[in-house]
Amino acid sequence: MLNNNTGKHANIGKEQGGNTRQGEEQKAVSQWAQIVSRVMEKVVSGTNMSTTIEFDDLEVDIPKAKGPDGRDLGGATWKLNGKVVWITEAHRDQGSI
Amino acid sequence: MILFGRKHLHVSESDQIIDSLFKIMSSVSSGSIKLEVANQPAMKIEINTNDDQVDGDDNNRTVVLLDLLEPTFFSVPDDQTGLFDKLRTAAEFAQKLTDNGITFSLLRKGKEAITLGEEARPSLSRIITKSNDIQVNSIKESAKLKNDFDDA
Repeated sequence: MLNNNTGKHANIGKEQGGNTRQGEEQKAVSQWAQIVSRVMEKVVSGTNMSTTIEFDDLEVDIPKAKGPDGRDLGGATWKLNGKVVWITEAHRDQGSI
Repeated sequence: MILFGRKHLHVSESDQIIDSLFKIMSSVSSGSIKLEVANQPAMKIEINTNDDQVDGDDNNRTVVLLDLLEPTFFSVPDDQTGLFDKLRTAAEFAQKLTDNGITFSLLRKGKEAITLGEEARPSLSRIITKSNDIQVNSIKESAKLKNDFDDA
């Protein structure tokens, strides 16, 4: 009995398997992106709606970084307090009824 | 036996969105963020980090509490994945949380529903989820959350 799953055929199988897996991963990433974008769409594009994000003593550790000339820029801790408010309004186009 | 469907969202090692999320969670050491939509509270995130010294090494443990105050706001009506698909995704996500020393607690209107990651201590839920990184704190609240997400 011939074993077709050797040599060149096996490699083709591997390549196809790799492509399939890569394709699945890309599909999964795009699905994640879709979910994130749907939620963001609700937050950002609702008409005549206000959205508020409030930061309360939010401490963010900024890691050490190197400047373009290799200079050590050091790290930092940012403390965020306050609100960001955005309001969306619907406007009628001049041409519309 | 195949318990899980094939439609679940994978949390792969090279997932850019998930990686970015972990970087953000790791870089925030404490504080809270509140989201209000149309003057109604929609979500609150609280983050705390504990520095544990284990054998002289710093072990940062981050606890993230995500309270969905208006869970229907985050619904995805045309989501085609079932409960087991969601659990499968949650298991992959929770595994990654544990690997990064992060605990993620999901609350519904102030009541704990599910804990994922480092500090999850599953008991019976392990039979369903087949994961050591998912603890169902309240079946009732978890079921309500699922309904909220499914509702249009």
